[in-house]
Amino acid sequence: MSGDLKATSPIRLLEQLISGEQPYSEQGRGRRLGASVISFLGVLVAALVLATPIVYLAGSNPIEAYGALLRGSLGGQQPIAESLISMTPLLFAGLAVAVAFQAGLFNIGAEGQLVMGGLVAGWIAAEVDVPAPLHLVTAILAGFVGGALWAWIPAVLKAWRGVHEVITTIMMNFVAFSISQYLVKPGGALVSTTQPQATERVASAAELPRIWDPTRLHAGIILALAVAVAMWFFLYRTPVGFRFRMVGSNPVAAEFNGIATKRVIVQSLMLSGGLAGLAGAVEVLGVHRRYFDSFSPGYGFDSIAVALLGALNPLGVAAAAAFFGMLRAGSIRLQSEAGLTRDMVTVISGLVVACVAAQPLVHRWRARRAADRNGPATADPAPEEEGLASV
Amino acid sequence: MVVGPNDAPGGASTGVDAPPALRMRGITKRYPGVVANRGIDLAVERGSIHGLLGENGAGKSTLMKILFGLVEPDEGTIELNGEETSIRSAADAIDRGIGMVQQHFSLIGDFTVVENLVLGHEPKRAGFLDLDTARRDISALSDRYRFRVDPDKRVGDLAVGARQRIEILKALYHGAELLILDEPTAALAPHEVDELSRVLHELRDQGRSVVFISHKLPEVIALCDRVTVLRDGAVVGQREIHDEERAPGDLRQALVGELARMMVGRDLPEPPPHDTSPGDTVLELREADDGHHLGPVSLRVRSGEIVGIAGVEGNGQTQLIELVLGVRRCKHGHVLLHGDDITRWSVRRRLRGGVAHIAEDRHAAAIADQLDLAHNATLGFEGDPALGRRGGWLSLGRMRRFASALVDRFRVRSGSIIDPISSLSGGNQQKFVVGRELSRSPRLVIAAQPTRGLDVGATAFVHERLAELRRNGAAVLLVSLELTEILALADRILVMSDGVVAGETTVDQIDLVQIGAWMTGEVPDHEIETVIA
Repeated sequence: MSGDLKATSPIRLLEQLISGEQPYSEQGRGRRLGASVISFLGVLVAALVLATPIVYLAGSNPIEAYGALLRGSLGGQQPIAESLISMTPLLFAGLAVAVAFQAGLFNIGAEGQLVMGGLVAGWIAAEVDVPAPLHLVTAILAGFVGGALWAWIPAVLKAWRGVHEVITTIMMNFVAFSISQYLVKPGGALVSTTQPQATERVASAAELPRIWDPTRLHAGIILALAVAVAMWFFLYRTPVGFRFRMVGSNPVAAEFNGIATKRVIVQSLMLSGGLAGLAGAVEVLGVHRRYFDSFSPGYGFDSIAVALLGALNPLGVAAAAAFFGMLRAGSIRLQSEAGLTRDMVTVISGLVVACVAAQPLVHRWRARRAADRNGPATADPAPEEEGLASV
Repeated sequence: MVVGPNDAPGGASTGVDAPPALRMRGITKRYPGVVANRGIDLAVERGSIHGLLGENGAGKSTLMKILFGLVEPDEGTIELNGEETSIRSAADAIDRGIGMVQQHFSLIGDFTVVENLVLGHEPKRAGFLDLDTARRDISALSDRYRFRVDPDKRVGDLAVGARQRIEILKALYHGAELLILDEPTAALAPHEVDELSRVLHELRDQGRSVVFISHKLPEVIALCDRVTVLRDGAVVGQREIHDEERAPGDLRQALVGELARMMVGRDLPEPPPHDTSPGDTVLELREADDGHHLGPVSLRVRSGEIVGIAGVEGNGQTQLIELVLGVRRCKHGHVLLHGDDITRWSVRRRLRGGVAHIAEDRHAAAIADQLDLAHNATLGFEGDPALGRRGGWLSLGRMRRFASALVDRFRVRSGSIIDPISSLSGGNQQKFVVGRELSRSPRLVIAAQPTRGLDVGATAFVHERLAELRRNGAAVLLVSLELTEILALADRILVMSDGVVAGETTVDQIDLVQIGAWMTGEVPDHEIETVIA
């Protein structure tokens, strides 16, 4: 494999993009920020480059296609607003996946938690009498609680029975989809009298206000950015966040040093579920103004790519969510101008995941080639060979 | 040890002019920042056991990895039986008749001895696995060198010593003329060491050559015909060992002193003095039992006292530590700390109650490799107000200052506080962990293999800290597989075997035969009065 790579320079370039390595080696104080920004952009560009042949094979001119994507996402007030609207649930759900990942858990159930959060929020907002000033807050919190409780079952199974969370969260997705379909099917308990497959319209006091006339952009984006900053502080500046990350880094060491790992598993997965629930709640209260069955075009699944591209750092996740929001918004123009279906978004998000997953491998290749250039490979970095000099 | 009058050094070599089985010349290997080997010359005569003696980090393992093709030297040549040869991989080494027995065995527990030995070179007949031929070959080989190994036993059912003999047998089966044994006695009980030395003498007498890597003087003196001492990556001495030097006496003492000075570059550090008398009971176990591997165990550790737990690996020591720390549930019985029943306390509560833990495997249980020093310093202290700001926030500045303080106070050689802890050498990681744990001002310290993999300086440092704790009135529970470490430090010694305390003794009443018997679970041939002070 590495033999082929030596010969071809475009792949070398791609490699460098994916690896996120800097061309210079002198590293100062801001090197971590610099490295992560470069890694983020590198993965992004690599995914778009890798998508080019697919775009071409799908019968479109890649330059035109990317142009359409750009115009559809940043070319004017409406496109920018639409990008931000799509970014909002992606940011919440991306934070959800990232928080769980930081604690060493792979929450694939964000989509189901998002559905449950949206359903509970939509129900509270439409059907339950809450004093007007509190209605919006209550509905949003209810969305959080709905998602958190949906994640509680896999969390408890993981903590006390060791059941793998990937399996249980996936299965809980299907349960959530079915429950929501059941409740809003014709004759269902929550179905609207005027609209099929949906709940009643939410009370006006429970709507997230529009903030940028004449667009649909709603206050959810502000909430999402605030929560991203809050999650950053939580993970990196609080004892509980520290425990999350320690359990994610080395659960055994965490346990031996007095961190109740089972509690952390339950806390982190419920927080994750709650954040995914917020994604659903904000989408329902801000965009659709009622709960629709299948209101989410897969935000919960895209959020895995968002979290990985954001390197699990809440601020990085915000940047990644912005990118994926742009992709989603631009995909409409992609369809009308370049004749490509919206599935191209799925393709690109898959390529992003692939590039992130390839990072360690690429690092190894590069290290090995560097070793080959500089002399014989060192199978043994002599970890214990500190000699007597330390005495 | 079975060293008879006929076992002259190099007894089986054919003549003075015969080329040595192995000659390494001018071997040099540089790593960034360290020269692991500098111009090493080594000659191993055919039919001899050659000791390679040196502290951890002296370059022994690197040299042998070069010989076995795992590491490529920067300079130097290797000759086998007088012919220069190049060894670029382990497969090359095996082809040229070199066999290596690593510290960690590479056997598969669910396979039989035969299956393990043929692994990778399975003999076939008409496309089917032909184990019968292999079994005959292996039995013949085993009989020839008196290995006492049943080829159809499942390896997982065998004791550590027997597994090691199978590793040796495996190397012989693959045609090894020159055997490298890397710290082969580390996991063995005393009687298993005897069995190993018997096998090695047998090999030598039948003309094979052995390189015996060790940092333990007594076994090198007892076993080897010649010894080469390495220090700081260079050869500092080489000499023959004569039979009369093996017997206890002045000659042996002189040899021990000479080799020790070569190894360490100065006289051996004095073990810290036992200069305190114990006070109140700090830790007490009453019939504690995890319902599985451990117990029932009863023991006391008093303030100002180091209690050593000796035993062969895997006899419940790990479970004992986990139970005291609270990671493992105590099904029956009680754990008491200063008279309080802490059986149901959480780990955190115990740590807050003055328990510190130096983990036996720091990568598993003490640090997170990829996180930086500041985070690793904070582990276990994350809720501590000393590392926080008002309102319960963690202060990154305080975390870093704490880590810097540990680095300074415990003489940790490190780059930046924000580098991952994996960038430190093993010894410095351990000093860092010891520092973190001792900064709890503990009243009870659980020190599990606290010096594993450390060089002589770092070991002395850790030992001094433990002795200092004892002086300051802490109770120390020292679990170690190295009997010498326990003998150097402990006031009382408990021997664990099969999950229970098989015997107890004090340092001044030490009887190594009795301890060996306790370790292996054999019935002692004489009763000894256990002294419970």
